[in-house]
Amino acid sequence: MNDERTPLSTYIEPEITGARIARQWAAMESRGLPGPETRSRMLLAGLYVAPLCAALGLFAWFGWPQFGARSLALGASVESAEQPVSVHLRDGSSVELAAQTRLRMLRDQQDAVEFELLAGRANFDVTHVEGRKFTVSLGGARVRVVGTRFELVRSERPEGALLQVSVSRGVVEVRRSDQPGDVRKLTAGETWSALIPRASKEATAANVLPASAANPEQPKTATPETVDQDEAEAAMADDSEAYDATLGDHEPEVKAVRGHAALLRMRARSVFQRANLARRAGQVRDAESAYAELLRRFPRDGRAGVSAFELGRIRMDVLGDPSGAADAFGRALRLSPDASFREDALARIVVARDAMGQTAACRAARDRYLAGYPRGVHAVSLAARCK
Amino acid sequence: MKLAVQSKSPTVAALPAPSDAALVVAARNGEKWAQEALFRRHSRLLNGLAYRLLGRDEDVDDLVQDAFLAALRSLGSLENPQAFSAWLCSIMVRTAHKALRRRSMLTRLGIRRGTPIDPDEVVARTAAPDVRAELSAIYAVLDRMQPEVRLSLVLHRVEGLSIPEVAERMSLSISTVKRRLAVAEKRLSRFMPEREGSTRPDREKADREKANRESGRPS
Repeated sequence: MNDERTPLSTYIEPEITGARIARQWAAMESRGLPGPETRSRMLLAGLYVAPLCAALGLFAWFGWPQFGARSLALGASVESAEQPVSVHLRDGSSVELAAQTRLRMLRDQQDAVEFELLAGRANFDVTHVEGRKFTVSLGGARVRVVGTRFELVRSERPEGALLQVSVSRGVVEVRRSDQPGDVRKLTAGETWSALIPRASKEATAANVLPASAANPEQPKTATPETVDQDEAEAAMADDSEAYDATLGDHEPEVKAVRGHAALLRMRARSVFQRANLARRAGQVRDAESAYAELLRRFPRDGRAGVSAFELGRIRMDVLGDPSGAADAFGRALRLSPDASFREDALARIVVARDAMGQTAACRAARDRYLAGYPRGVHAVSLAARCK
Repeated sequence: MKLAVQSKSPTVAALPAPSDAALVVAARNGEKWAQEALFRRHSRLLNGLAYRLLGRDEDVDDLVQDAFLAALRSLGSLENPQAFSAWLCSIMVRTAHKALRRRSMLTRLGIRRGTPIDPDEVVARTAAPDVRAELSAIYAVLDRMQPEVRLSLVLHRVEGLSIPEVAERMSLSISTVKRRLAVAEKRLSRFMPEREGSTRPDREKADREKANRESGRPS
C-alpha cells in the first residue's frame, strides 16, 4: 500500500539530464527572453502606441504610402568602410553591414524584395510579411527568407568566392544558381558554406549556363567544386578508402572542400597551440593576442570558450585588467555555458567586479555564482567580497 | 583552478544561495543570469510536472519552455516573489491545459494522430505493485478524459494536492474541482473496480472535510 505521505508523483519522473536542461534554456534564449519590466517602459510603449494607432487609422483611410522606393533607390548599393553600417527597411527588417561590406538592392516591390551581397559580411533580421518574397543573392547562390535572422559572408579568394550562410532564427532556403535542383533548407543553428570557383561564378553572374552544363563532354572537374562544409567535415571524419569509393563522380569536389575545411581547422588549432605555448613560456602578451585572435577569427570553433577563459585569466592574474577579464569570462560563459570552467569563470567575474569597485554588479555576479553553486569551492571566499 | 585573490578571513562563512525572491527581483530587471538561475533551480520541478500532466516525454520540452517563458513575461504580476515555485506550477498547469486542448482539437480534426499513453513506460519500475497498479489505471484512462478533468485528476491523485490546492492551482472554485474529480473518478472506477482497502476513500473523505472547512461549509 502506498504511504499516505509519499505522493505518487515520486514514481513518475522523466529523464532529466544537464544536457537536456541546457538545451531547453538555449531554446528559450533563441526564442527571446523578456527584458526589464518597468512602469516607465510601459508608459513609453503607450506613448508610442497612441500615435501609431492614429497613423494606422490615417493610412487605412487614405491608403498606404509608397515611401520605400525613396529610402533606397533600386540598383543603389550601400558600402561600409572601416565602421559597420545599419540599414533599416520600411517593413521593420534591418541589415547590419560589417566593415568593408557592399550590398546592392535589386528589387523592392510589395511582393518581392531582393538584395545582392557583393562582398563582406551582413547580418539580416527580416520581418515576415505575408505573400512577400525576400531573397538575397550572393553570386552563385540565392537565399530565400521567410522571417528570420541570419548572417551572410562572401569573401573573395584566388580560387573563387567563399560563401557562408548561418541561421540564428527561423528558416531559410539556399538555392545554388548553378545547381537549381540543389535546395538546402537551413534552420536555426545551422550553417551552409560553399566555395564557388571563379569561372562558375562569372558564368552565373552573366546568366550563362555553367560550362559543364553547356558542354556535357567537359570533365566533371569543371562543375563547381563545392559541397556543404558540414558534409566535408563528415567526410573528413571518415577518411577511409571505403568512404572515398562511395564518392564516385563527386570525389574531386569533396576532396577540394575537404582541403579547405581542414585548412580552417588547422588554422584554428595552430592559433590555439601558439597561444598555449606562449602562455606556458610566460609570454603573456603573445598569449593574450593569440587567444584574442582565435576568438576574433574562429568564434564558432570548439576552442573559443576555453580561449576566452584563458584570456580572462591572463588579463586578471597577470595584466591587472579586471574590466577586460570580466568581459572575457562573460564571453567564455556564453560560448560554453556548460563547460568545466563555468564555476571558476562565475567566481572570477565576482572578483573582477569587486576589483573594479562595481558593488552592485559584484553582488549580482556573486548571487549568480551562489545560485548555481551554493556549496561551491569559492562560496566562502566570495562571501567577503562586494563590500 | 585557483582564484587570484582569496578571502582574507578564513572564518567568513559562505553566503546562502540567493532566495527565489531575490532572483525574481533581479529577473524582473532583465538580469539574464537570474532568469537562468531560476530556470535551473526549478527545471526538475517543471519537467516532472509537465511529464506527469502529459503522460509522455515527447512534448515535455516544448511545454517547459512555453511555461517558463510565459512566467518570465508575467513576472511583474507576481505579488509574492517568495511564492515563485507555486506560481510557476500554476502557470505550468494553465499552459498544459492549453496544450492538451489544442492537441485534443487536432486529434478530433484528424490532423494529429494521438499515440496512447503507455503506463508501463511512465511508471517507475521501483514502484510497489499496488502503486504501480493504481498509477497504470490512471494513465490508461487519461487520454479519454477532457483536458480539465484529467488535469484535476493528476493534480489530486498523482501530485497529492488537496482539493483546495487543486482549485488554487487551476484558478477554479472548490465545487468545480469536486465536480471534475467526480467525473474523473467515475471514469476511473470502470478501470479500477477493486479499490484497495480503505486508504483512498479515507483520504478522499478527509479531503472533502478539509475543503468544506476551508470553504466555510458544514461537513
